[in-house]
Amino acid sequence: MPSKVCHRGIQRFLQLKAPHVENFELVNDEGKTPQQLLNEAKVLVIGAGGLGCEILKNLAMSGFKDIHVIDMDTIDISNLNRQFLFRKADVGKPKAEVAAEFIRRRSPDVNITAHFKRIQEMSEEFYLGFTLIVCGLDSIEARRWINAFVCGLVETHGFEGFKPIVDGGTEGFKGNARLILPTHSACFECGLSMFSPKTTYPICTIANTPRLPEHCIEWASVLEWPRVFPDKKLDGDNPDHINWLVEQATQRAAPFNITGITYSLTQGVVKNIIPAIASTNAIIAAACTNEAFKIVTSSNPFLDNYLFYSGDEGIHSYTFPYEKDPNCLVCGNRQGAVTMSGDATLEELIDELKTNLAFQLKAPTLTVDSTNLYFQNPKELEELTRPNLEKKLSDLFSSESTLTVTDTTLPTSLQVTVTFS
Amino acid sequence: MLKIWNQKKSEVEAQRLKPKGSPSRIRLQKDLGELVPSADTDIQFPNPADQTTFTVVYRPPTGFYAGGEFRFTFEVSENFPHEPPKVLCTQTIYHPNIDTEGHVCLNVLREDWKPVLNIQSVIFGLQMLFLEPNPEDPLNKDAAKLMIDDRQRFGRMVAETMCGLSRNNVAYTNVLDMKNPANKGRTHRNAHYY
Amino acid sequence: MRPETDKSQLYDRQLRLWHESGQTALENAHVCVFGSSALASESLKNLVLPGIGRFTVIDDATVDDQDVLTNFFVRHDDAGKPRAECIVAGLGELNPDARGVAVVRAPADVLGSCEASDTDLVSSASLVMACGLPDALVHDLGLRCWQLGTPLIVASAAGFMASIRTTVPEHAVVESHAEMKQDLRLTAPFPALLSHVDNIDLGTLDPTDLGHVPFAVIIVKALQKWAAANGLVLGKDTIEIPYRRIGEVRDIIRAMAPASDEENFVEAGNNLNANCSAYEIAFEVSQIISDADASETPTSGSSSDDADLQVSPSTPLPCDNGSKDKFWLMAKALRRFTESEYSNGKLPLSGTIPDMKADTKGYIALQRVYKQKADEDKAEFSKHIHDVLDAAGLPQDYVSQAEIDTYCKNARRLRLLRFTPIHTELKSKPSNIDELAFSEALFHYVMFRSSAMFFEKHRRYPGVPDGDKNVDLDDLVAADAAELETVGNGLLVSWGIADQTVPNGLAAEFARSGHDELHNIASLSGGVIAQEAIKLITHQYVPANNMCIVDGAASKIHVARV
Repeated sequence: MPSKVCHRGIQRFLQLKAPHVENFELVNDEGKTPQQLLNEAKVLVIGAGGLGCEILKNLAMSGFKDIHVIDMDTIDISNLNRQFLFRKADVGKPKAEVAAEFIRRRSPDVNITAHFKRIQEMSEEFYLGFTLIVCGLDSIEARRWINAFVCGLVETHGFEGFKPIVDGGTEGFKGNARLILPTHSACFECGLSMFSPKTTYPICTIANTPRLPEHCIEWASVLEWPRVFPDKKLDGDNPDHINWLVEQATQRAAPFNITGITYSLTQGVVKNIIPAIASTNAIIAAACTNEAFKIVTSSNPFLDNYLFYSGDEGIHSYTFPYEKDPNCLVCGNRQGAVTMSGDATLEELIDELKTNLAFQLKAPTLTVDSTNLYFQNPKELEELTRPNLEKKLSDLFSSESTLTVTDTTLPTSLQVTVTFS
Repeated sequence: MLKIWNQKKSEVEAQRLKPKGSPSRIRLQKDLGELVPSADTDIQFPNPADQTTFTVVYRPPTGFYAGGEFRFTFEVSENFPHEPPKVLCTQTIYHPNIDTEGHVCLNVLREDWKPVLNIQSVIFGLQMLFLEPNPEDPLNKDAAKLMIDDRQRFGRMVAETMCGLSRNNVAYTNVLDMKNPANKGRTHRNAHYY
Repeated sequence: MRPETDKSQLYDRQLRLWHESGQTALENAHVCVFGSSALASESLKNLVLPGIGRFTVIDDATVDDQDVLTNFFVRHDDAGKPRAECIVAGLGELNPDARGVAVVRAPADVLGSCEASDTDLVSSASLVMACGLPDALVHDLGLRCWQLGTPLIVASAAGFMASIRTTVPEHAVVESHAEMKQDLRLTAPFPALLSHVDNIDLGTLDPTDLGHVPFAVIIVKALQKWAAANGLVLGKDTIEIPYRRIGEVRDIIRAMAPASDEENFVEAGNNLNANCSAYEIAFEVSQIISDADASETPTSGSSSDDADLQVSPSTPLPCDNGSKDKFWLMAKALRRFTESEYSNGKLPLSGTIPDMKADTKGYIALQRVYKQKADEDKAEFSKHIHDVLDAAGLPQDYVSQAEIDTYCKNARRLRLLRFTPIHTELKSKPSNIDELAFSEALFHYVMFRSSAMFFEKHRRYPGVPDGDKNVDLDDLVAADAAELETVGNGLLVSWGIADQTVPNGLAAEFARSGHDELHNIASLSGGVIAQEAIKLITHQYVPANNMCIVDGAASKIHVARV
C-alpha cells in the first residue's frame, strides 16, 4: 500500500513559492507546512449525489486524507447517468456508504467515513471536528440549515468554530460554486433571493381554467390525489402513483383539448425535477474542490466568493464577490448585551430595551432557546406569556443567556446577551 | 486558516453571538410578534411552544359571511419564508374561492408568494376573501356562477350552508359563531332571513 | 404509460435537456481520443456516463506511480500496463452501453500512418479529442480534422491552468434552445390572428369574460387602435413603436381594462415591451439565409481530399458539403420560403405560445390559431424543401417530416458557427488577434503557446528538471519563468500586441506547475470538454467559439476567440 504520498504535481504547489499569494509562507503561523495541513485537514462532504461523488473523488485525488461524507439518500436508477461511483447493482443502497466504499477501494491511503444520516441528526461536536465543509446538495432547505448552523458555530466557538463552506449547485448546463467564510463573507442565506421558489400555478387555474398540461397534472396531484387517497402520501418515485396521476391528468385534459401529458412531464412536475448531467457536475464539483485545496494549503488565492458558469449558449462564466445582505436572517442579526440584576423583572428588561439608546425598540418580542418569554402578539400568545412579565429574570433564564428579540424597528433580530449583575 | 480568520478578526469580534434558532423560526417570531391585533381574528396554538402550527379563526364583521367563524390551519415549514405557509380551511364551506376540501385560492399562498410577504399578508388575504369573494377566478365554480347570476340566491345559499345544511349532496359545517349575539336563535330553519 | 424503458429512467435527467434526438445522436457517436492522461479520462467519463456509443483511446503510455495518483481510472495494480487499456477498462465499468477500444500506439505513429485502419480511426469519428499532445501533432491532427469537417477539441493543462480549444470549419445548430422572446407577431398579425381578434368584441363581454381575454388579444386590439390613431392599419402596414411611445399603447390598454388591477390587462401591459417592435429575422438567421443563397450557385467539386488545401480563415467555406447537408438543404428551402409572396419576408411560425391568464376556451382557441398557421407554414415550407431535394437529385424522403417539423419550429433560433483552423494558427498566429488582444484569456493563451515553444526548444517543459541533475527547484522555476515570460512577450510583439506584456507572476505560476496535470483541474476541464463535445455531437445548444481558459489559481474561466 502506498504511503501518504501526493502526486508530484500537487507536491510542487505545496513546496514552491506561490507568485499570487501575498506573504506566501512554507511554514504557517501554527508551524505547519502546506503538506501537513493537507494531510491533517478533515473535510466533511455533505451530499453523495452528482456533485458529492465528484467531490469525493477530487478530494481523494488532491491529497486529502481524512474525508467524511453524509447523505440520507439511497441510490435510484436515474442517478446512474452521473453518479459514477454507483452501479446498477447498488440501486436501493445508501449513497454515502457505497460512495465511501468505492473511494476506499480506489485510494486505500485515504481515510473515508460514511454517515447514512440526516445532517440535522449530527451533534455540534461532530461539526466542530472538521476543517472545512464542502456541500453538494440540491435541497435549498438543507443548504439553509447547514449554513445557519455553521455560521452559528463561529458565534459560540470563535475561531474553533470557523468552518469555511464551499457550496456547489447545478441545473442543466449551468452551475455555481461559492465560498462562504462564516461571518466574513456573504452566507448562503444572503443570496437566497437568487433562487426562485418552485413554480406553482394558481389553484383556481388548476381547478377551473387549465391551459397547460402542467395545470392538469397539478389538478391530479394537488386536488384529486388527497381527495381520493386521503391517507396515502403521494410518492413521486412510485411508478404506480405517477401512472395514476398520468391517467387522471390525461382524462382531465381531453375535454379541454389540452395535449402533452407524459409520464416524464408528470414526474417532473410532481418532483420538481431539475435536469442534471455529469459534465456540469464535474465542472462545479472540481471548482469546489479546488477552493477546498487552496484554502487548506494556501497554494493560491481562494475564490472571492462566487463563480457562475453557463454552457447553454457558448460558455459564460463570471467570478464576483457576492455582497453580504445586511438584512440576512442568518448573518444580519444585530448583537447586543445588557447587564441587569437577576432580580429584575422581564418587564424591566423590556423597558430597558425600549429606552436604552443602543436599542430603542418599540414593542419587542422575546424568546430564549426557542422558549417563549414574551410575545406582543397574537393575543393568545400575549396572554400566555404575560405572567412572565412579573417574573424575575433569574427565574426565566440563566445569566449570560442569549435572547432572540424581534421588533418592528429591526430587519431581522437582535441577539441580546443578558448578564446578571 | 488562522490567517484567513485573522484578516477580519476585529469585525467578527464585534458580532460574536450565535443567533438562537433557525432563520425560519426567527422570521416567524418576528411575523407573529408584529401581527396587527384585530377583534375579529384569533390565532390559536394547539401547542404554544411550537409556533409552526397554528389556527387562524376569522369572524367576518360584514358581508355574506358575517356571523360565521372560519378556521384555517397554518403550517410553517423550515423553508419559510422561501416557501409560503401551507393553509387549509378545516371546515366544509360554500365559497367561490374555497373548495369543499378546504383548498384556498389565494395568490399569495402560491404563485405570488415572495419572501418579503409575511403571515400578516396571508391573514389579510384570507379576510379579503370573506369580505369580497372573487367570483371571477373561482375554485368553487357553482358558487361563483351563482354569485354572479343571482347575488340574492347566493346570499341565501351562503346563509343556509353556514348553518350546517346539506346542499347538492354536500354536508356543510355549521360555522355560526354562537358567541355573537346577532346569531341568537339563528338556525338552519330561519337561515334565509339572514 | 409505463415508466417506459429502463433507458428512459436511467437517462431521465439528461433527456430533459436534449430529448430523444440528442440521445440518439450521442448513442450513434464515436469519439476518438489521443492521449490517456487524467484530462482524457475525466472528459471521457462525462461522455460515457450519458451513453456515448463508442470511444477509442490512442496512447502508448504505460501507467507509472504518478498516474495512479492523478488518474482516477487507473489502479494501483495497473503500474506498468498500457494506460490506454487501463482507462478504457475503468471507464467501461461506468456504462455497459458505451463501447471503448484502446489503441496502444504512439499518437505520432497513428497520425503518421497511411494504413486504412489507422486513418479510419479519425475519419470514422464524430468528434476527435487531443489531450496534452505536442504542438506538432496537434497541427497534423488539426489539418486532418479540418479537411474532414470533423470537430476537434484540443486540451492541455498545466497545474492550475487549462486550455480548451475547439475547431471545426462549421457547425450548424437547429435546436439551439436559445432563449428568445415569444413568436407572437402582434405588430404583424397574420390574417387568421386578426380575424380571431376581430371576432372577440370586448364591448359585449361581461366582467368575468373580460377578465379572461388572453393578453395577446388585448395587445392586438390596443395596437389596432394605436395604428388607426397614427394613420396606419395593423396587419397591412409595418408597425414599429419606438420605446418612448410604448406608453401610448399602455394607456390604450389601461382605458380598455374594466379595473386597474384586472390581471390579464396587467399582464398585457407587462408584455408590451416585448411585443411592440416590427417583425424582424434575427441576425444569425438572416446570415444563414444569405449563405444558403451563396450555396445555390453550384460550387466546383469539393476538394476536401486535397491535402494541400489552404484554408484562409477570412473566407470560411460557405457551406461544407453544401449539396447534401440537410441543414443547408433546409436553409435553401428557408430562403425560398422567406422570399415567397406567401411568407412576406417572415420565417415559418413556431406555433407555440406562452401561458396567458385566460379561461381554457379562449386560450385553447388562440393556441389553435397559432398552431394552424404554423401547420400551414410547414406545408408551404415542405413544398420548397421538395423542390430543393428534386433539384439536388435527392429522394423526397431524404429529409423526414420530423426533421422538417423541428427545423420550422426552431427556424428563428438557428445558429451557424464558423471556427478558425488550429493548424494555421500554430504555424503563424491566432486568426482573431484584435479580439484576443482585449480578452482576459490573452496571457494564458500566450503562456500555453510559450510553454509549447519552450518544450520544442528544450525538450522539457518549464520548471521540469532536466534528467537527474541536482538543481534547486525554486531556482529552476525562477529561471524558466523568466525565459517563459521573455518568450511570451516576444510572441505578443510578433502578433502586433506591443502595448501589453505578460502580467507579473503568470509565467512563474506556469513554471511552478512543471506542466503537470492536477486531477482537480483535469476534472474541471473534462467537464467543460464534455459539455462542448455533447453540444457538438447532438447539434443542440451552442458550443463555445472557440477557446476556453480555466484559471484555477484565480478561480476564473475565460472564453475567447483565437
